[in-house]
Amino acid sequence: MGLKYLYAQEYVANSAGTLGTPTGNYIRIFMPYYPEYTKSDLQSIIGRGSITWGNKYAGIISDAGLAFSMMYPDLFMGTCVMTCPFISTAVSTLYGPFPNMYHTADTDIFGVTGKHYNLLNVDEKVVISIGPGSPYNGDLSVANVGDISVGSFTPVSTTAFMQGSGGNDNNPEYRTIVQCADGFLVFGVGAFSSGASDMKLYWLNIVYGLTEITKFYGAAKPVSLDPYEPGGNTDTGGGGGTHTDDNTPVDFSGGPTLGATDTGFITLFNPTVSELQALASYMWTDPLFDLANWKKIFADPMDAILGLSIVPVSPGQGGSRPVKVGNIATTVSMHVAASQYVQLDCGTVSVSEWWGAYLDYEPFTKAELYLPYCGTHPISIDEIMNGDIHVHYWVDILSGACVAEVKCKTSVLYTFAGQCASSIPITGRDWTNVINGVLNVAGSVGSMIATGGASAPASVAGLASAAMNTLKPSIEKSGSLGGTSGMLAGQTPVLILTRPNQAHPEKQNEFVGYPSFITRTLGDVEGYAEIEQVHLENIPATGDELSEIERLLKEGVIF
Amino acid sequence: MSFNIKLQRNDSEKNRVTKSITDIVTLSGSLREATSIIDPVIKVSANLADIADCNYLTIDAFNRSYFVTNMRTVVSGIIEISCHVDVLSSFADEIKDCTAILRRSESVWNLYLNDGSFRVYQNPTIVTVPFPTGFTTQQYILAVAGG
Repeated sequence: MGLKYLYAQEYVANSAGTLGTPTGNYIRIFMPYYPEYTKSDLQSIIGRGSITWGNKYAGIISDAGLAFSMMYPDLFMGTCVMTCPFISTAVSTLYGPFPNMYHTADTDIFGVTGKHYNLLNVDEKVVISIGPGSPYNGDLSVANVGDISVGSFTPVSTTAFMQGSGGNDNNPEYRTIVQCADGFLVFGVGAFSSGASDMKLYWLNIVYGLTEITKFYGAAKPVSLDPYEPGGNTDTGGGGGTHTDDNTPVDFSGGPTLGATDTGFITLFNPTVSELQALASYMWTDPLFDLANWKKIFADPMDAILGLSIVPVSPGQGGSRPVKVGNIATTVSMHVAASQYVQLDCGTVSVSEWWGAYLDYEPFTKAELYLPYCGTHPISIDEIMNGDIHVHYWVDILSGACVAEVKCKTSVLYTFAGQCASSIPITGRDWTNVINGVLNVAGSVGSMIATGGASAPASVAGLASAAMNTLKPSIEKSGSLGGTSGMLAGQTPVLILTRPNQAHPEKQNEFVGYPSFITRTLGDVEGYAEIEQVHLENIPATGDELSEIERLLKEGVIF
Repeated sequence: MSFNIKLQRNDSEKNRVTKSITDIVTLSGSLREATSIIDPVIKVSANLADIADCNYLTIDAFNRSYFVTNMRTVVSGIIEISCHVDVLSSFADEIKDCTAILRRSESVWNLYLNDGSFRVYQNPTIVTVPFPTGFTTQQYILAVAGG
């Protein structure tokens, strides 16, 4: 059973009898949406009614057939567990301390007449009386309230309209007694026979103090509730943006801090041509060196030569020292490469608007970037327009890996990887690997992939030709350009811009104007204008004339 | 009811708010029949040849100006002129006092707004801009096992 709650809105009647706003102590009632719960319904659901009393707020939220809360500051402390009166489970626990709270518990409130289950705070003058035999249609006698002597009090008004079998034979409506005198509140429901299974609570009125709180949902009918209402209704919102751009520029990376040469397992030399030739001559000398000593470490002296390559950067040169092959010094000396990681700053290019209009931006103007060893890649013109684009490389001379970082205005927005070392085979195995690598790259260089162009922007009014150009397919301008292939290609980054060729008729602005979306007093407008929206005020024209004025303004007029 | 009818010629665009008007003839008389102030049909005593160039008229008593939509000879010397109110010109001052959001304008515009009326040719312009520096050197790198 889906339980929906109507949150009662308390209306406090002032002395004049008009509705006011809740002030001070008031009652909030949570009632089931569909009030025609029978006892058996409630019994199957509830038993979990609880009251939480707390400073400034005390409330019961229960999926029982009846739940209520009280807001009575500084009154209640702790938690009280109370069952719905419609079930037979007795209230079991009262937690305190509650100054002057008294609790009379019945083990079975149904079928037990003359006794009440009461939560009474005498000093604070709040009494909740629930249970069969509650005072109804009559004075609440203290004697009826357990053993508490609190004096008698007179009900001020009925509180509940209930119907069901059993109960008071004289009154088909079973009413609670509400006592309001100096803040006393007695709220009780009951007088139903324990056998009644069709008790229905329709509405509830609480009289509290000298004010009457009428539940606005009071009606002897089920109240129709929007099933979506628990999800919340629409309301105003938005407009809370900060309108600030906390942009933090992102600079180029600082490069790795660890290198292979730091391990001592590898030495990188930056030899000259003559030095390489001398080493090659040494390696093929017979005898090479003490082979007996050499064979303790390597089977083949060439195993000590890990690789020879050409890179497009200068690593800088450290000191010169003999080349050791398998830790055996040769007679050849070479300069050690000063650094495994090398930077290359390719500089900055500025991009300016051609029109100073929307045509300068995506999707009408496009930008691509050719990066040596990385290929040609599209970038967004929106990110570089009216700013600088800066390209910077990091190269690892050991692996040949390179990374091109592209800074658009203040931040690095693009990073592309590539391979810039051209391996030189020095063994038969090396030769095979190099050739295979080149063949693989050649296959991708040859492909000219035509990819579908972007869809025309849906927001463009009418499918103008400017937008139609965006439907043209994008043609890939390069494939993989790593290694030797990259060395054969261009060595300088290039920014490639594709701009539309505007077809502009003379005096276009006089005939159709340009986009505006600006608010102006029409007397300040000159020439042709189309109005998006206008409020025609203080015009002594008929209704039809006003409609015609608005239509003409929207179609276009000349001021 | 006596009032004047200024028969005029309008040389301005129909959708121009303040028009360039040339007076041709002013007729004075009495309104003998009921007529609409939005689409008046007025019979005047005049020679058609004298007023054939009139495409506009102003009736001060109505506080309105009108486009002549038709002229009809009723009988000799009586011309029936049908008109439709020129709302733009009749209420030009009040219209100019109104504030509006412009959609398009000859004089108040923002070109960064997308414009569906623009046309482009099918042949775009390609611009290439090389960067100041590229890879300018080639170096050998020899990797040897050990230190």
